[in-house]
Amino acid sequence: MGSPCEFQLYCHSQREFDQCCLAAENEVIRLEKKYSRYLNNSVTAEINSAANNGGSITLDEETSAIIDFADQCYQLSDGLFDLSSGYFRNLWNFKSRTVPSSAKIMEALAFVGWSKVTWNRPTLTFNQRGMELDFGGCVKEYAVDAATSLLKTMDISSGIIDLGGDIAAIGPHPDGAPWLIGIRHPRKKDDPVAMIPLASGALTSSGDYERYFIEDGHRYCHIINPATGMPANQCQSVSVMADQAIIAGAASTIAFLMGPQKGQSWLEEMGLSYLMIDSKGNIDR
Amino acid sequence: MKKNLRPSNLALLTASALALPAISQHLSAAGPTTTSKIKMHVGSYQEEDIQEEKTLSANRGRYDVDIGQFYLLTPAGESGEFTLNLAYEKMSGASPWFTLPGLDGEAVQIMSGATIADQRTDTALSYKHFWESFALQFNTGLSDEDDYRAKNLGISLHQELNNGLTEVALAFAYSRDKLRPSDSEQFLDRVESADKYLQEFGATLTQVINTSTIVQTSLNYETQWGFLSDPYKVVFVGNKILPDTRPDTRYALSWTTDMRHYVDAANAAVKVKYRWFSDSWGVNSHTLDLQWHQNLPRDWAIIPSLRIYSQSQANFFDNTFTESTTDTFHSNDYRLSAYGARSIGLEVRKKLGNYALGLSYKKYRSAAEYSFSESPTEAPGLVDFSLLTLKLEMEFL
Amino acid sequence: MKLVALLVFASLISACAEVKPWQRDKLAKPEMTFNNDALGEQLDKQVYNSKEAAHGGGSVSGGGCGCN
Repeated sequence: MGSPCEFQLYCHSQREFDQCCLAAENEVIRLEKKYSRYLNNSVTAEINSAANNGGSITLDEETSAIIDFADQCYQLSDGLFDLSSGYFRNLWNFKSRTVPSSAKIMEALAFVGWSKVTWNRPTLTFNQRGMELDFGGCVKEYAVDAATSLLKTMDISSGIIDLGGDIAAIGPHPDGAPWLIGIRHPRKKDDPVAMIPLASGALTSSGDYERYFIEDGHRYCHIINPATGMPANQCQSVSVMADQAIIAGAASTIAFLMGPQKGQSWLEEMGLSYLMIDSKGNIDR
Repeated sequence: MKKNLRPSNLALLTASALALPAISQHLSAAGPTTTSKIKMHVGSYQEEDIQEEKTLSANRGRYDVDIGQFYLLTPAGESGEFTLNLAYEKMSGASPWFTLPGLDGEAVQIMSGATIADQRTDTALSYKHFWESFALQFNTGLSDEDDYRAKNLGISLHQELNNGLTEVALAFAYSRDKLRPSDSEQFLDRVESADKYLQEFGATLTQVINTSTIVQTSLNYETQWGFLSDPYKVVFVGNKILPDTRPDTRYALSWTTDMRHYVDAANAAVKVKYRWFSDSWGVNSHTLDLQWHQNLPRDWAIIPSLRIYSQSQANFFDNTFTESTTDTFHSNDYRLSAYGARSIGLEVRKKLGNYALGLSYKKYRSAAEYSFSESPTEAPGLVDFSLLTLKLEMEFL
Repeated sequence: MKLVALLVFASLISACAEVKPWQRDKLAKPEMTFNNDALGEQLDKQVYNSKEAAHGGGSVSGGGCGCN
């Protein structure tokens, strides 16, 4: 997954623990491989091959369900949550640390936009060549939910899963006490800004400190607005709590892109709890 | 496109998140329903007029029934679900009364003279409680019509094994019916009131075969006792008119296997169901039900179906009986004759968000020659019918 | 007929594959469940039971009708 992953489970025996961890790990690895950006035989690679050629692809049940979810998010976020922002990978390179010119950005926007894709379950058609989809905004969170669900069927009722900062509680500690999750301070790595109790459900964060570079005093992070082609810079971090990690993950990304005012009212209308740190460091929850 | 955000947006998102296979697996393990469902069906059942050569009755019309059905499934607390079933039928028409030897040797059916008009209401309730891998269900029901009242009780136990890939279930049902045939004062040999009892045991095994196939097989043993004859029918035994007389016990064993298979290439599901039946009255039967559920774009589906049925004759059935018969039991009811039936059906369905609409048509034809028995005695009262049903279904949180 | 059905059935059971929970998506489709058209099947049952000698099979739920 490219980031540290951890399972903390309460089990009746070491054997049960080993079995559960193995099963959960395998499920996470399965999804990682299936939607990997880097493997040639992953579903993402197949989809992007069709995207590149402006063609069609028929998807399996699981991928179709992910597209349905992403499509739903696109509708509810006024187009901010967009799988086709995968194209920006070509534009914003965090290793070379160069800011693309406005001309290059305008050019790139021609290849981005979920409206350029026709989704008629189970067929996905790209009406524009050269597009690219990225499932990074939902697969990691989906893996958290999948592992949680799997562990629940294996009779685990106390535990917590942390996949690189995307967290879900299977259930509180056996005595009923919730897990305490530290929300990372965007500028001070080891100094949590808050401790959030989590007994069940998921907690995810979107922040400008995960992948970024600073140029000329400006911070450019990895969360790009699909309408403007520019990284969002109105928030430092947004953390959202929801029953499913995939919902929390999408919501934190969307609120991050919307910025403090619009993002907060969107989260409130959705009925989701959040903690938002804006660009000046002010905290709202 | 600005959308008016309401709290139900979270519900929409949750629904699509729960539709993700790896998340919903937790729910697919046995558990009570999480959504409520309401279904309403209205149907029109019409029997074909009896053919001229098969009857001497002037009025050849048969039965017509208008049907209304209501179904409600709803979660009850954290671990239970509750189901309510209501049915209302308005029946009218004539039905077979007795058979006579015809002029050319072929028996003819005499239909009941007056048009029978009757209503039936059926109420059934059930509650199912779920534990980790075990569930218990209670059913009770009441069926009421002018001349007939049936009450039933049932209980079933369900145990999941193999991580939910296997389920074994045991069921028991008991039913007590009270008959009060109409016009019993007018017809001297028509019984005034009688009771009929039924007891049934069933064992069912459901097994997932692979990612696209699941099979369910069950063995059912049923006992009936009490008044099992048809109070409205009479039989000519030589020159005497005797009431339809059947044994006062009936034992039946049936074995049913139902398989569903998903055909990926066609985006369709196929159903194959077979039932073997045998009872102590001498009736053996085979039923084969085939259905192809074809999914089409834009949430449409088309479902053709075929049913093939065959039964052998009951020991005490005949169209006419000679005087010399010393048998105690006799009936000329076509329903106990050797015959077979073929029916074809077609249903069209459309899903619109949380609603679904369906229109289904079925045509049923019966004939002695369709039976697997050798040289069956054709009962002139065999019936053909058509059934048209309009369905409205909805699901909500 | 009975022997054929028994053989088919036995071969199906022995061919059982290991199906992981996340692979049960197809089986969860409504058209693949046994109770999908419960109401339609109930009416069918009523209609067929009132004209055929064979009855039952499948779910045991009792229920009577004036179909002696």
